This record gives sequence, C-alpha cells and structure tokens, in this order.
Amino acid sequence: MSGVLKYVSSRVASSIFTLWAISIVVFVVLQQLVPGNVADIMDGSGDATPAQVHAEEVKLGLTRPILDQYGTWLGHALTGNLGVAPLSGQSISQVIAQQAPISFELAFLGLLIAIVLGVPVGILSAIHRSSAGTDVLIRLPFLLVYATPVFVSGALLLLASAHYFTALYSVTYVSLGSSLIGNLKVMALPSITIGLTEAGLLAQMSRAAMLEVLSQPYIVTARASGLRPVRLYGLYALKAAALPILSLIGFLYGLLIGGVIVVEQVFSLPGMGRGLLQSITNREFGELEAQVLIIAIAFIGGNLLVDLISPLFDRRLVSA
Amino acid sequence: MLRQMAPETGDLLTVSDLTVSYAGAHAPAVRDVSFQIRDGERVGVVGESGSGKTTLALAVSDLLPRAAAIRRGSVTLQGTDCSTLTPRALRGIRGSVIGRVPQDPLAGLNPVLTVRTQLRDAIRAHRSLPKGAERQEIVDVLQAVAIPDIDAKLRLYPHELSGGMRQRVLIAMALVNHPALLVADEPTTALDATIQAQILSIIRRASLDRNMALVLVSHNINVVASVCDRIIVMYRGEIVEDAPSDTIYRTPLHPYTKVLIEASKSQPLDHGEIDIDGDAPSAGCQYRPLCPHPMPQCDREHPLLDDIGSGRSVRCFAVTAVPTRAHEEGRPSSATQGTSTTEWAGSTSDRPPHGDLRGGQGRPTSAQLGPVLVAEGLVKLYKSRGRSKRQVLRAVDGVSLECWSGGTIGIVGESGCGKTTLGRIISGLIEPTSGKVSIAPGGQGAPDPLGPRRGTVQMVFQDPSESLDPHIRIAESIKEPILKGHESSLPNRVNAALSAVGLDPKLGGQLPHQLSGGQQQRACIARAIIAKPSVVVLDEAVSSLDAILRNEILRLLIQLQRESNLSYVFISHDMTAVLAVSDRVVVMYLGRIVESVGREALKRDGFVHPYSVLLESAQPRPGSAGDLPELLVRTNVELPALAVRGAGCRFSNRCPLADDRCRTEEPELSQYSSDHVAACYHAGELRQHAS
Repeated sequence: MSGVLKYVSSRVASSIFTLWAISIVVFVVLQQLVPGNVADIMDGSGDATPAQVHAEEVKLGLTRPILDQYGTWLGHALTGNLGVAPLSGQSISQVIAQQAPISFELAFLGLLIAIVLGVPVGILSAIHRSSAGTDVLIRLPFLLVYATPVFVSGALLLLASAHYFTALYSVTYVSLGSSLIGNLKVMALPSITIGLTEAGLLAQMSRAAMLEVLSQPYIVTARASGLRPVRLYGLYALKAAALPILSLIGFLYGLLIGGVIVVEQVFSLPGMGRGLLQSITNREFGELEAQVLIIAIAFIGGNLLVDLISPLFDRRLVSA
Repeated sequence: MLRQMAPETGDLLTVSDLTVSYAGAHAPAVRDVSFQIRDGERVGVVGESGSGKTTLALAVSDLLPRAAAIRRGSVTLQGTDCSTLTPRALRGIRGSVIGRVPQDPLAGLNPVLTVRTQLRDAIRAHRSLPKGAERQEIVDVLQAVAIPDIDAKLRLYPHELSGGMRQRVLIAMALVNHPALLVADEPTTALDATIQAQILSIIRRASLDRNMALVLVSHNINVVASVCDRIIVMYRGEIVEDAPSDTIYRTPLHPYTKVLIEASKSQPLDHGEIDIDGDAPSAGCQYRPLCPHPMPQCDREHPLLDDIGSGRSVRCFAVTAVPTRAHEEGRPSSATQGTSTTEWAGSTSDRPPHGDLRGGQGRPTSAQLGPVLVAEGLVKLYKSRGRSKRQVLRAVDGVSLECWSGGTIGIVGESGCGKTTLGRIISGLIEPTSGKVSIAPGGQGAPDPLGPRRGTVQMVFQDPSESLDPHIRIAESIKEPILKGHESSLPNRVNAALSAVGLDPKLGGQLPHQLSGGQQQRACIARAIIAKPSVVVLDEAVSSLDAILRNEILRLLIQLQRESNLSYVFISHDMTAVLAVSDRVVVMYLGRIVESVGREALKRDGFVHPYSVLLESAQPRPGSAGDLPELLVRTNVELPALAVRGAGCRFSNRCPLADDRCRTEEPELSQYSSDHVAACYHAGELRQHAS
C-alpha cells in the first residue's frame, strides 16, 4: 500500500509544482516581456498625456515591483478573486466562469466521440493487420478526416446541417444550465467536428500500441494456452496496451481545451478559445493570465487523472 | 528411410516432409523434416542459431508467425493432420494437447495480469471445472513445478517473481491441462546454471510422472542430453542426425554432430567459421564447405537422411555409403572421455584436460611478470530507493584482486553476484564507493592508481548487435578509441585490427546489421584491442553466442592474448567458458569473492567452496536432469535479496554444511593450499557427486 501512497503523492506534488512554475512563467512573460499594457489600450485614441497614462498605471498597480505584483495576484487567484477586467469592468472570475464550461464541455464531448470511434478502429485494424485490405479500409476514412483542417470540416458540417439536419443548425448558444437538450443540440456539431478529427489520431495510436503488444512473447504464451480470441484480445492484449492509449487521451484533453479556438470561431461558441483571442487583442493581461492558467490546469489535471488511474492497468507503476 | 515408415500405434506426433519458409527469405527455414514421437518420448532438437530448430518447434505447436508458412509436408497429431483443422479446432489443441514453454521467462508472462488469472484462464480456455476442482488443479500443477508458498504466489504479478519462478509458472501453465506433448524452446537459456538445472529437472520429472512426450529445443547439446532420450541434430533447416542420446554422445556420426559435441566443451576446433547467412551450395551436401572429410559425391548429390538401424538416422555419404556399419568402427569421439567438468581436475587423458583451451606450454608463469591490474578493497554501494527505510545494496562488498600481464582472470557467479559491477569498476565506467583500481599503462611498470583509464582498459559486452551503433559503419566504430591518433595512420590501424580478429578489412565498410552475430562480436573485439590496451574486460562476451560461435571467439581471444600480451578479465555466468580460458578462477557470491584459485591449484584441489561446487555441479550433463544432485535439491533457494542479509556467511542459508558458526560469523578468505584461497570454514568438505 505504501507504494500506492507514494506514487499518488508524488504525482500530485509534481502536478502542483508544475502548475506553480507555469503561473510564474505566465505572469512574468505576459507582464514584463510583451510590449504595451492595458493602460495604453484604455487610451485607445492616443490623446492622453504620458502623465495620465502613468496615473492609470499606478492605479492598476503596474508600477509596483514584479514580485510584489505576482504575490498579490497569486494571493487573489488562490482565493478565487481574479480581479476586474479594466476595459469591461466585469469580474474576471465571472468571465472565466462563463467561458470555461463551454470549452471544457466541448473538449470532453469531442474526446468522447473520438474515443468511441477511434480506439475500437485502431484495435480492430491491429488485429486484422495481416489482411492489408481490411486494415486500410478501416483506417483510411479516419486518416482523411484527420488530414482535413477543422475549419474546413467544421464549415462543411455546418453547411450540411443547414440543409439536412436543421434541428442541429444553430447560431445561438444555449447554456447547459438553462436546457440540457438545447445545449447538447448546440454542442453536437462542434463536438462531432473535434471527435472525427481526433479519432484519426487515437485510431493510429491505439493501433500502434496494440501492434506492439501483439508482438510480445506473452501474447504467444496466451495463444499457446488456447485462449479464446475475445479473451486474448479483450483482456490479455488490451489491458497491456491501455497505458499508451490512456496517456494520449489525457494529453489530448488538455490540448483540446486550448485548441478549440478555431472550432469555437466556426460555430460561434462563446468559449474560452474566443475569449483568449479577445484578451490578446485587447492586452487584457489579467484575463489572459487566468485563461492560460485554466488551460494549464486542464492540461495538468488531465494528465494527473490518467497517471492516477494507470496503476489499475499496470501494477509495476506502484511496486516499491 | 524414416519418412516412409507407416505410423504405428503409440505415435503421438508425426512430422513428414515439413518445409517452412519465411516471406522474403530465399531458403526455407525448415526443409523436408520428418520424424515421429511416441507417447511419453523425450526428444531434443539441437542446432546452432539459424538451423531452423525454433521454427520447427513453432510449426509443431501451430504457432508460426504470420510471415512464415508451411510450404510442404504435414504435422499429424494423434492421427489427425493439423492442416485439415479449423482455427477453432487448432485452438482446442493448443494448451490442452500441446503445451508450450517459451524461451524468455521474463517476457513470457503477461505483465498486467496476476499469476492466478493467467493460470485460471489457461484452464478455462479448455475446461469448465467447479471452483474447488479448478483450484485443486492449480495447486497441483504449482506443486509439480516446485513453487513454494502457493497462495501468496498466486496473488502476485509477474514482475514480483524472480526469473526462475516465472519460468516455473510458465511451465505450470503449459502443464495445467495435462497435455500429451510439451514443446519447450530454449527454456533455460536466459537462466543461471543453478536455476537451469532445477528447471530441467522439473521438466523431466513432469514428463516421467505424466507420461508426457517432450520436444526440447536448445543450442546446447548438453542441456538436451541431460533431459532427453533421443536427439535430433539440425543444420541449415535439415535433420542431419537422429539418434538415441547415449549413442550420439558415444559415437556421433555426422561431422556436424561431432563439432557440436566438441564445442559444448570448449575444445579447440578445426573448422572455419560457420556463416549461416551465406549461401548454401546449390547442389550436393550443405555441410560440404565445412566438412573435414568430404567425398567426391558430396559435391554433386544431396545426401538423404538414411535409417542405419538401432534407431539412428544420419544424412552423410561417409556413413551411409559404406554398408559395413561404419558408425560402429568410427573413432570414438573424445566425448566419451567424460562429460563432466569434475573430471577436469584428475583427467588422465593425453589430450589437454577437457575444457582447457589454453594449454600450459610455453606460458610465462605469473611470478615472472608484474601485475598489470591491481584492485584493492573495492566496494560499491547502491541506495535502493522506494522503501520506507533506506536500504543499501552492497553490489560489490570488499573485493581485491590482481591480474598479471598476459594472464586471464575469470570471474564467475550467478546473476546478482556483482561480477558485472566489478567489471565496470575495473574499466572505469563507474566509480567505486571505496577502494581503488591501479593499472599499469601499456602493460609495463608499476600499476598507477591515478593513470588514465581510457585506452588502457577496454570492454567487450554481451550483445554485439547492441554495442555497435547501427547507423555507423564498422570501420568508424572500430576507429573510435584511437581518434586522437594521427589521421593518416588510422585506416591502416583499423585494417590491421580487423585482420587481427579474422575479419576481411572490406567488412569495415559495412553496417552492423550486414554482419553475422559472430562477425559483430569480432568487430567489437577489434574495437577493444585497437588502442593497444593493457586490460580487456570481457563481460559475458560469449554468453549470447551458440556453442560453436562461442568456441571460435574464445579461441580468437586466446590467440590475440598470445600475440599482444593482453590481460583479460573474463566475466561470465558460464563455468565451462570460464574454465576454458582462465589462469585464475574467481568465484563471486553476493558481492564477495568466496574462492580464488589458480589454474594448477584447481587441477590439484578442485573447487573447495560449497558454492563453487554447486555452480560446477549445475552444469548440464547427459542424463543429469534425471537425478538432480542432492546438493542442488538442498540449495533449492533463490538468491536472497541482497539487502536483507543477516550476520554470518552469506551462503549459509543455501549451504548444506552450514553450522552455528557459519550463521553468526562471516568467514574471511583464507589459504586452502598454495595459490588457492576460499572463504569457508568447511572448505573442501563438500565434493561433487562422482559422475
């Protein structure tokens, strides 16, 4: 048991450390290295005197030492107070609370579709590797979709829905809270766009992981014992191949949270991807930092989750 | 001829005219192989790498890889031609009629499933038993393979078991449905000699107790002969000889069989390197290029496997063309002069004692030359992580030794004894925790503890294909140690090194994968000697080679030593190889030297430490697996974890002689006789059984 405890605590600790390191990098890079600050932007017309801009900077705390600023910011962030967006006057926490769930849901649904489609395809094509025809037929459509940029496939889906599945065609976002069905309708097309694309990647990875396992001597042992194919592939091969597939899924989840910008743009979803784009354009560093950190949390959280369930598949990870 | 015999009752397996090819290979891996196996018969298949023995074993157990296909012939099991069976019916045979034991126990068990799950699934694939009966089957079979503490072991995952234990579990999985035939492909090649002896004994016992036929595949004819009643010798995919074990040892008929038997004892050989990757002669006998006594028809005709009576078949004109029972008049092979290394000490033969590759003639005695390598009080500790209490692994625990100029010091012991760590300390790859190594540069003058190590010590590793960069041409790899030399002389020196190890300098332009295993190891040796080192550390340098290649490399090493006065530290788990090349044999156990004996003293005294005697008695000999020496039965203990060791002699928990003193007080190395020290209070009291 001590092995498990040690494993879990070391994973959690290293995740927290990584997150902290990212917060520093994000803060320093965005505050210090990017030219211009929000005070310049507020002075959109450029007719404020330098003194006025400076006064605004002092008011926003931009002239204080960087460590000081970081300390204040970290203290606030940990208590959920991310400050106020200077331009809109909205609470950053509120803005994030509106944007983030959309992106999280989109990434989750998209990944779900990708797993359901991609993993079985990868496994089947590994099992049927000797018949080249089957292998190619199974994988080819996925590779084609994977090779298509999402703004193309998304737009095509949108176009198709306008003609054939008008129920799914929608331009106004419905939140999960107000209507589950309505929300799922809105999310359907963007999720399918992401799901189809990532399914190609998952299929490839599952196939590679499965092929690797199928070449192992212990699979020959299992065949030599006369195991039924369902048991052989379903347990002996799949359980051993699960780890690399899981790792990719954890990695993809984080990647998708930050990578849904284009899809959100195509389907006009007010998620974090679009928010991120706005924050950059407006040099809303407070908001940007929060968004980048949320993405980092998703990334690290996804990988941590995978790390934590990995010992269920391979006990060697927690053996002392 | 064998293949024309009608199947008799009691025939379990009939293989006729079996030919198997791999996609892309021009020659079949198995060609026109025919033999029969009766119920309960134990048959060994022996040959060097590339002889087709593994492909044959896979074909028999219907597990050929996808790239291989049966081109011709058939495998008939219990009267049914296997090629007529559906995949479903074949699956029903695998694991129930035919059990299979794989080569590598470390990779043979599924790493993500428990021992219990894997054993249970092996049963459930063929039978559905009530829970109690199923459990009883599992317990019975684990007892048959001598696994202690069964309940605890069942809950474990493979990585929590030692290599020997894993192989026992794999044998149990193969036996659990009471198969009529067990196919074991090199089941002990990856294991220590002591574990090997135990596993072979378990396999033989299971065969006897269950009247189960056995096909045992190995490159080592001694391993096969220790278990089997009959031996099939394969060369280039063909059976060249098929005979009862005792006869084949007494009077081998095919020249290749003679070579195999000689090679298994590290005798000097008179034949060229066998290049298995090269082209076979298009007509005539395949063994013709290597045969010492070819006959005119050998160039034109392909000899057939002829039944010459008394259960023997042989594929050789020299034997079959003469009808007057040539095989019985044939010169008895030196194999009859004893097959055990025990007789080494007291051999009265006029040949050099068997296993002795060096001969004693004209060699300077150690006293005339100074030491070239002095190691004093070497200790290497590793902190083992991941435990609640920090435990220290004493990999090397106070080792001192000297190696004389032009001499060979052989270090032998089971895995985990610290011999590899010691070799790496000597070569400077790792720093000792304490102690020092001094080396005389250029093999002259006093050993200098501060002298540069690089260039004066070189290493040769176990796996030549992994120790040569696959993307770099051979000549470039060999050049590495002397890159600081004068540019213009480099190509000449590389060519000279290649010639010295018996390779055509043209091979320098090749990439490693274009060379055979033996050629690769020669290239590694060329790389080691090019910088004119004083000491070469050979870490299991011949362990991954089959008997014939091993023999060639050993002869090459000795020849090089004589030419350039090299000193070797020869590290191996293989007692036979160590005895063949060493001036001094050092036996290590759990980080310490337990016995160190010079060549002459060993001939006089034999081994005196119980552990050395154990190692020696574990060497396979014909029929030896039938009666496992009592010593091996009594020492049926896995190596204890190095970190958890109490006071007293570190061998005391396995030692049949251990008394109270041994368990409380650790013996130091003390003089047994001249040039012979051992760390044992009962040195010399235990002798190997006369064999």
